[in-house]
Amino acid sequence: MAENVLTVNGLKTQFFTRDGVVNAVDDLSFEVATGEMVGLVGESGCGKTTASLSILRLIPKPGKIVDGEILLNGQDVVPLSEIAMRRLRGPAVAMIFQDALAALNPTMKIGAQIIEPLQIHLGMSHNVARARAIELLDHVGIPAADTRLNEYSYQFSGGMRQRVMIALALSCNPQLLLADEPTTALDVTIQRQILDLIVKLRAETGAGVILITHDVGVVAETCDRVVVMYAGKVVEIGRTQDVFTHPCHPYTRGLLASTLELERSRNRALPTIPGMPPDLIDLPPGCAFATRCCEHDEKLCQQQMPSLVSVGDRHYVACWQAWSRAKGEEN
Amino acid sequence: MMLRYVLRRLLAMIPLMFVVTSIAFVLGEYGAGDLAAYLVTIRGGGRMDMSDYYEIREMLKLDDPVMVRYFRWVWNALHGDLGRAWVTIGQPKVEVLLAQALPVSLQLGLASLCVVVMVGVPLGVLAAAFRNTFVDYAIVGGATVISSIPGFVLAPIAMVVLVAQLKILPSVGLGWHGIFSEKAILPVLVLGMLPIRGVVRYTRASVLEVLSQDYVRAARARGLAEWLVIVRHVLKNAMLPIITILGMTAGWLISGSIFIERIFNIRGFGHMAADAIQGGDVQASTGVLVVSALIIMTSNLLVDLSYGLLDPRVQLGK
Amino acid sequence: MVQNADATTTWRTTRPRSLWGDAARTFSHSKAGMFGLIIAVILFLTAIFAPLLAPYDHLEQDWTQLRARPSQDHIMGTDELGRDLFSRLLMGARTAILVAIIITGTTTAIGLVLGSLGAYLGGWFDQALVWVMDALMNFPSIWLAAFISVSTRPTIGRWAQAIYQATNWESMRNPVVLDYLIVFGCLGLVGWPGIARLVRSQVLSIREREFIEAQRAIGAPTWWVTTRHLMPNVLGSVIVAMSSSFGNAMLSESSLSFLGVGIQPPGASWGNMIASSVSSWRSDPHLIFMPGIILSVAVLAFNFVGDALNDALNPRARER
Repeated sequence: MAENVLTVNGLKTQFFTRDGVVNAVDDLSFEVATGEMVGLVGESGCGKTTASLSILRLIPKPGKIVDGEILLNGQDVVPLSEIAMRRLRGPAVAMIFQDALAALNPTMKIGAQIIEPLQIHLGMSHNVARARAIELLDHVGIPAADTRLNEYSYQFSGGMRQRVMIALALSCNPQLLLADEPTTALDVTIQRQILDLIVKLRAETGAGVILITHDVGVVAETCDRVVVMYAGKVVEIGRTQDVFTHPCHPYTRGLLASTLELERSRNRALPTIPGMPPDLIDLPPGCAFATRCCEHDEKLCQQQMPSLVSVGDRHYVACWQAWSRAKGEEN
Repeated sequence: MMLRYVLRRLLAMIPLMFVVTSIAFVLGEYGAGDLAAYLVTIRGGGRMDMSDYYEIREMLKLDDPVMVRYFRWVWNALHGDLGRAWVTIGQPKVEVLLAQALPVSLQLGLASLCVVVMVGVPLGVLAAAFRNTFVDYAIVGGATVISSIPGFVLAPIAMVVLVAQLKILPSVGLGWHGIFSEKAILPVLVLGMLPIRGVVRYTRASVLEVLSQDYVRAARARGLAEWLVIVRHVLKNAMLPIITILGMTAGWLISGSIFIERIFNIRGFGHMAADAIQGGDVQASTGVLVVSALIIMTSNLLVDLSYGLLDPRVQLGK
Repeated sequence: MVQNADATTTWRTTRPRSLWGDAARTFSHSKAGMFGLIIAVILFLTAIFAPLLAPYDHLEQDWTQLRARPSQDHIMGTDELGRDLFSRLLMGARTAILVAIIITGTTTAIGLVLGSLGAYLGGWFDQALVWVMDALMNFPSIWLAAFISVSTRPTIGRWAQAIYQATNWESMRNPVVLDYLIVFGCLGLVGWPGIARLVRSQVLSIREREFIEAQRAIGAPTWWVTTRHLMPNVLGSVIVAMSSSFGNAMLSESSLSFLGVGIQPPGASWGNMIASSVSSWRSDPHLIFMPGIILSVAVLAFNFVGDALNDALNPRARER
C-alpha cells in the first residue's frame, strides 16, 4: 500500500479575535496518498484555505493550530520549530496561490523569484539555478523562457502568470502540492489548460495534490477522492465517483444539485440551498448544517454533533440521517 | 519617453504658477498701503511733499491697471527681478536677499531631512514589525507627542532642557556659523522633529500594507527566512510610497523654518519671510511666497519623477 | 428536497452591527483616543467657563509683580506686564477653542460644498477648482495665512470703522475683535482646500464604484444616490479630517499669534504669550513652558482623537 504523503488527524485551527474565537477548522481528518489528487470542496469561508495554510504552518496571528497532527511524509509538522518548518516549505510541500498577480512580487523579476528558492533549498549556484529556472518555465509551457526570466509579473497574461506560479511551486520537487483555487481567477479556456497542466505534472512527478475549489465540476473530472467541508468540518469524504453518484450528506446533495448541467430543462428553477452559512464564532452545538437541511430532526441533529461514519468502501459521512438510513439499509 | 513626461509636467506647472503668482500678487496689491506715500514720507523725513508723491507714483507706474502691473511683475520676475524690499533699510533688491538667504536654509533643510529620514523611517519599520505591541504604541505615541509640540515651543524647550539644565549641548550660539558647526545641531534637530510623526506613520502604514500582500505570504510559503522576506520582498515595495512622504516633508520643513530661524536668529529663507511679512514689505513678501511655492512644487515634481524611475510598474508618458 | 425554498429557521448567522456602533466601540477601546477625548472635553469646559474659573481679570496688570514666580497669590506666576498667568492661560483656551470651532466649521462647510460640486459637475468648473486648490496648497500654509493677515488688516480696519460709524456697534472698535475676524478669515481661506480636495477625491472614487452603478441601473434618482450612498461613505473621512483640522487650527492660530499677525496683546492667546517670553528663555522659562505645554497637550489630545477616529471609521486601515 502506498505510503501516505499527508495524513491529517483531528486538525483544529482557531482564530482568537476581539469579537470571539473563530473555529475555522474543526476536527479535520483526511489522507493524501502518493500521486493521489484529492479535492477539497466547500463554499467560501468553510475552512479550506485555512486548512491548507495550516499544513504549511502559515496561519497568521491571531490564529493558531490548537489541536491535531499533520503528518507530512510521516513527520508531524505541528510541533516543529519555525526553522525546521522552513526547510520543508518548498522541498516537501508547496502551494499554488489563487491570484497569481497578487502572489508574485511586482518589483522583482520573475527569474529572480524562481532562482531564490533553488539557491536556498537546493544549494544551486546562480548559473545552475538560472538554467533550471528556464527549464521549469519551459516545462510549464511558457515560450521563450530565457527572455521572459527578466520580465516582471505584470508583463505576463493571466494564464501565463498562473503557469509561473506552478513552476515556482514545483521548483524544489515537493511531494505534496496545495493548489488553492488555481483556476478561479481565469477564464474558461485558460482554466482547461491550467488544469490539464496540473494533472500532467502530477502524473510526471508523482506528487500528491490537494485541489481546493468550490467548483464541483472540476473535482469530478480530475480528483481521485474528495473531501466536502462545511463550517470548518468534514461532512463527507470518499472516492469522487462514490460521493458524486451516491451523495449521502444533504449538503453534498445540495451542492451537486445546484451545479449547472447542459441538458437541464430551461424552465426549471435553479435549485438552491436556503439560508446562509453560520457565523464561525457562534456555532450551534449540533450539526452546523441542520437549520438549512430539510431532512433534519430537531432534537438529534441540532443538539448533537454527528461524527464520521462509514457508508461504503472508504466513504464516510457526518450526518445522523444518512447514518440511520445506512443502518436501515443494512437491516 | 521620460523626457516627454518631464516636459509635460513642467508644462502643467505653468497654469499653476500663474494662479500662484496672481494670488500672491493680488494679496500684495491689496495690502500695499500706499507705497508712494510711504516712500515719500521716509524721504521727506516725516513730511509728505505732494509733488514728490505724484512723481513717485509716476515713476513706479502705480496708476496702471492691475493686470498690466501683474504682467509687468511676471515679466520682471522671469528676468530675475523681483523688485525691492522697500521696508528694509537700504531697500535691497529682493533677488539679492534671496540669493543670500536660500543657501543657508537649503543646508539647514537638507540636514533636517537627513535627520527625519534616518530617525523616522527605521522607527516606522520597527513599529510595523512589532505591530500592536508596546514597541509599536511607544513609537507611534512618542512621534505624535513630539510632533504635537509646535516648533516655536519645541525650540525654547530644547534650549532650556538640553543646554541650560542637562548641559548636553554647548551654549546656544544664535546666528549662523555654517552647517557643520556645533551651533547648528539644535536648529537641525528641532526642525527635523516637526515632520517626524508623518514620516513614522506613513512608513509604518506602507510596511504593514506590503506585509499583508499575498506575495509576502507566498515568499514565506517557499521557505524563505523572515529576514530575507523583509529585505528582498518587503522593503523595496514599501519604500516606494515613502518617497511621496518625503516630498511632503519639504513643505513642513519650509513651513517650520520661519519659526526656527527666527528663534535661533539664523538669517535664512524663513527669517527673510518673517521679516518681510511682519514688516509689511509687500514686494519681499510676494517674492518670498512665490519662491516658497516654487520650491514645494519642484520637490513634488522630483518625487513623482523618482517614483517613475524606481517602480517598474509605472510607465511614464502613458 | 432542495427545491423547497421556504424560509427555514436559520441559526443566528451574524450579530447585527451598524457602522456607527462598531466605530464607537472601536474608539472606546483606544486608550489614547479616550485620553484625548477627556482632555478635549476639559478644554471645552475650560473655554466656556474661563471667566468664572479665572482668579483674576486677565487684562489686569499688577506692576508690583512683574514676571513673578508661581506663588500663593498667582498659582502660575505673572507675565511681563504683571498679568496673572493662570487667568491668561484660561482665556487663551477660550481663544484656541473658539478659533478651532469656527475654522473647522467654515473650512468643512466650504470644502464639502466645493469638493462635491467639483466632483459632480466636472468640466471647466472642476478644472478651475483643482487649479485653485493645488495653487493654494503649494504655499506653506502659515506663511500664506500670515501674509493674508498683514495685507487685509488695514482694509478690515477701515471697514470696521465704517460699520461703527454707521451702526455704533461697540465691538467694531475693539481691536481684539478685529484680530479674531482677521484670523478667521485667513485661516479659513487657507484651510478649505485640504478638505475640499479630500471630499472631491472621495466623491470621485465612490462615483465610479460598482454599487453606485448598480443603483443607477435600478433607476435610483441622483439625490437618492447622493444622500443614501455617497454621503455616508464620504462622511467617515470628513469626520476624521475635521478632528485633525481642529488640532491644526489651534496650532495655526498660535503660530499666527506667535508671529504677531494673529491675536495680538492684550488679547490672550497661547501663541502671543510664548512670543513675548522667548527672549527671556533663560530667566523665566515658566513663561514659555506653561502656555507651551498646554498648547502641546491640546494639540496632542486632538491628534489622538483623530487617530482613534481614523481607526474606528476606516475599517480598511484597521489591522488586527
